[in-house]
Amino acid sequence: MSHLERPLSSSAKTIAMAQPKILWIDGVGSYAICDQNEVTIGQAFPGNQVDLAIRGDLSRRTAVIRRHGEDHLVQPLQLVQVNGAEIDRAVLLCNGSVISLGSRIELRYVKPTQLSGSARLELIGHTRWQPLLSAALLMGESCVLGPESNSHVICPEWTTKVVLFRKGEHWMCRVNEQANIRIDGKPVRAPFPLIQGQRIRGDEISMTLE
Amino acid sequence: MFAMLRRPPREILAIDSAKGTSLSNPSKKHSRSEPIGVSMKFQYGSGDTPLDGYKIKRGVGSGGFGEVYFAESDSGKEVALKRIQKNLEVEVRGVRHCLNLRHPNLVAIYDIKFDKIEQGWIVMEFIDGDSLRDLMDKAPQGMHLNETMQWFAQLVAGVAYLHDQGIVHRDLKPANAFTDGGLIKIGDYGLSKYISASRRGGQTESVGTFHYMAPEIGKGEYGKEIDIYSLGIILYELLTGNVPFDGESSQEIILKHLTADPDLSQVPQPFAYVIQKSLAKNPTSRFRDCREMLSALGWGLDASGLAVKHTNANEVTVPPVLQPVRTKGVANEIPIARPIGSIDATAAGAQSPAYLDPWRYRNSRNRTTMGDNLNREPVARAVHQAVGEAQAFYRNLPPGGRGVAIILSIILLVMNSGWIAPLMFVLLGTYVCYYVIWYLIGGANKPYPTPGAGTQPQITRIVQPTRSSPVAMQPRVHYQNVQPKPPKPVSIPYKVALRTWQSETRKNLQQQGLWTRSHETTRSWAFSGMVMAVIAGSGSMLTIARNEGNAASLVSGIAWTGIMSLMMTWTILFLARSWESKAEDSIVFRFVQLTAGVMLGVASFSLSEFLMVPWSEITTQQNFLTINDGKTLWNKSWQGFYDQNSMPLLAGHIAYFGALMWIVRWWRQSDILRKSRFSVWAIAWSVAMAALVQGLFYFPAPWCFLLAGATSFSLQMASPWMDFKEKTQIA
Repeated sequence: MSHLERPLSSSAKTIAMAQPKILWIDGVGSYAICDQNEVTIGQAFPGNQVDLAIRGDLSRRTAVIRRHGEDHLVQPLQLVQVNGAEIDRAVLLCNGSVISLGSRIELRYVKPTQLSGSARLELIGHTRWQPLLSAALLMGESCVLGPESNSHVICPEWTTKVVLFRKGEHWMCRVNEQANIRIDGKPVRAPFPLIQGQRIRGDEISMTLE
Repeated sequence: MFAMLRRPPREILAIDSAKGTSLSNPSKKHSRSEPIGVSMKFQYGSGDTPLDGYKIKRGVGSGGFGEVYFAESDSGKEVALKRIQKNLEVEVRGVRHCLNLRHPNLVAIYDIKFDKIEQGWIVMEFIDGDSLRDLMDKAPQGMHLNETMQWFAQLVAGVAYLHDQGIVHRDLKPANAFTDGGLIKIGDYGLSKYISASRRGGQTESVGTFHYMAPEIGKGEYGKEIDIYSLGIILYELLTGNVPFDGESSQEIILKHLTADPDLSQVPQPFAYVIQKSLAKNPTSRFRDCREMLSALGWGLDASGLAVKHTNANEVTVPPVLQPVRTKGVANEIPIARPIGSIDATAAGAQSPAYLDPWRYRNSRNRTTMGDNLNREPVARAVHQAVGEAQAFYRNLPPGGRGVAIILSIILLVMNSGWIAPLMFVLLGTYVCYYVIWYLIGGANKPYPTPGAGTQPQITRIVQPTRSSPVAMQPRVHYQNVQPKPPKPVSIPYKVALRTWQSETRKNLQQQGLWTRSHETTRSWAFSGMVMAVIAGSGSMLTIARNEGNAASLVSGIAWTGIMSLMMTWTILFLARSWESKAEDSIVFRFVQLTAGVMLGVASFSLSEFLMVPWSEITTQQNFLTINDGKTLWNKSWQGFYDQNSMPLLAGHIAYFGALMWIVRWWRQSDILRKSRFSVWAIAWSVAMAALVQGLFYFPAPWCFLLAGATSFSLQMASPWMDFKEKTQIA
């Protein structure tokens, strides 16, 4: 089994760890925003420094998901299977790939559209993320939140969609004028930056990045 | 019990739209019971701490009942926080009763807390799983049998536990059951269930709620049988992917609950049997408890109350499929006086002796039913009631008054025997024909409230809590065994209660769309047409029989009466339907009726010309209520109104019809909220008013009286009706 030393980028170090950025969307769910190039997945226990923690029977650091242009690769650190086959080197993930970690934990990699490099990582079965997440978002250059089934975050009760896109170090929101978005009570014009702690509210959209 | 509203309905009526998703992740489309495209408004956002010790993370669901949030306690416990926005006191009491229930198939309630501004919060288990609704939406063709039983058995186990605790859930639906791994957890027990007919806050009407509602909820019955019924619907939906009773509107759905049988052609045994028995219209024909229902499926409950499959489940003998005994009207078989919370001891496992012997049980039920058959017929009921009222009136007279009353009655009878006797004869004959037709078209088998049955406001009204009845102030859960004797309700004068109910219900009727109204009108029109045809037809036959075929002139009179009564009935039905939701304004209404009367007068004149009704041949010479001044009767002396034979011309027709329409408040007889379904007094009053009008503008007797009587009769027969007494049970 290969124990590769994980090359951590400096930006990943600063943001990651213990408290990932979580987008809390009212009426929809909670989503970890993983915008670093490498995302470590491991067991949830106090003091464990991984980007995505899962409560379950797996190693402290089990796998790394690495962004490669518009694609993602999974790099095993411990026992990892992709679609049932054990892997010993980085493997390209495609829409619908199932990643098994340890003996019982399964993740589904969902890439709803080829137009964006973003993907969604869902837990299958009875295990859960710590903190509780609906899914983790492996962010590409842009990410769609909306009612359509090919959105990265499906918000069935919305009529408009929100597009998150990178601008330098920041994430920006693009949204239809009709959504009447207000931040902390003040109307804003799209696109506007997504800043942690600010409550974004519209007629039907309501979310906070923590 | 539901004497009056406890609060104005607008305030308490809540669309429980998002209730279903309250504890789960509602990120899927909900084909039923969840409004889509509706904004979710949450007062609190991520990071807020309205309740000490808990940090809100995100809103989960919201609706009329309150908002649900996912939150974390300071120590990291994940919980769902439900903010109670309506009826704080009632809800808190209801939930408090359920605070210490513990069952793997129930969403656990941890605590009830109050924040600084006295808002109530329910702290409960947060379940991050799909609801059964979500699962069903993923399987539109229905689930596999094994999967169905996996979920359904747990659902029944949870409900069985609730029933054992003396609690009726009352709002079981797939959106209220959440999956947590392989477990099903039932939520929203202990909360009062408001079902709204109104639109509120821009949200769409929560029609979905009606899909799982037992028919007797319309009667204010909340026994555990309604949960059994809902379970039957859910089982059907799990297997087929569709609810058994669906429709375009809530009225249609409710009507199907009341009348339709589920289509079980695609459902294998023993499921078909279980569904059929659970969906019996008569609550007493359903499974008597959840255990019985489970064992019919080859499952049972173990000692800890969990659903387990019987070891010999494969050999389960399917009981013979009984055709559910068609209820002779749900209404008469349900003891109306039954207390809200009454659950018999069978829930705890004890067997009620009446159930042990099905034949005895059935026979005893039939006995009560048969005698009620005649009483269910509205006309017979009304006559019976009128006789009773007359007796009461007579008994209340002082001794001297009684003698006077008897003498007066005899004098009146003798004086008017000339037209009363034939009229009674005709009426009796008509009634016999009517009763036969009524019986043949299945009137006796129909669930009780007749043409207006199953209208939406009816249901709405019932589920509202009452304003002053102490029973309503009890927790919205139902006690068993330990049921405290309800304090004697504060008595409200019948008339006050009736008026209040009428005005409240009228407000709700306003919510009814145009479609409903026209639909009801059309139905009423057809029905009144039938009634008139029966009256006129049997009247003609009797007349012909009496006069041995020499009755052509009389028959034309009868035809005139029938057609004009029908036209009057239709006119009034039309007016009354468009006024039903308005506050009564006698002056305006009378004026509109007068206008309509003028047009009816024109129609009447044209009709009598067309039929060439020989008025002078068929007029009795009774001078009822008219004053003879020696030469001509003064009511015939209007210039240009009558011809030389004193028979009415166009102006006479117009004057008579205009006055008749003006003087009688016809709309009241057609009002859906009128006091009784059918009132003999209303007919008598109409005839008396016709006589009064005849005293002013002469019109050939007895046709003018027959016209008024027949109109009143068919009008009441054809108008939908909501029973105040049954709705409120305060009688």
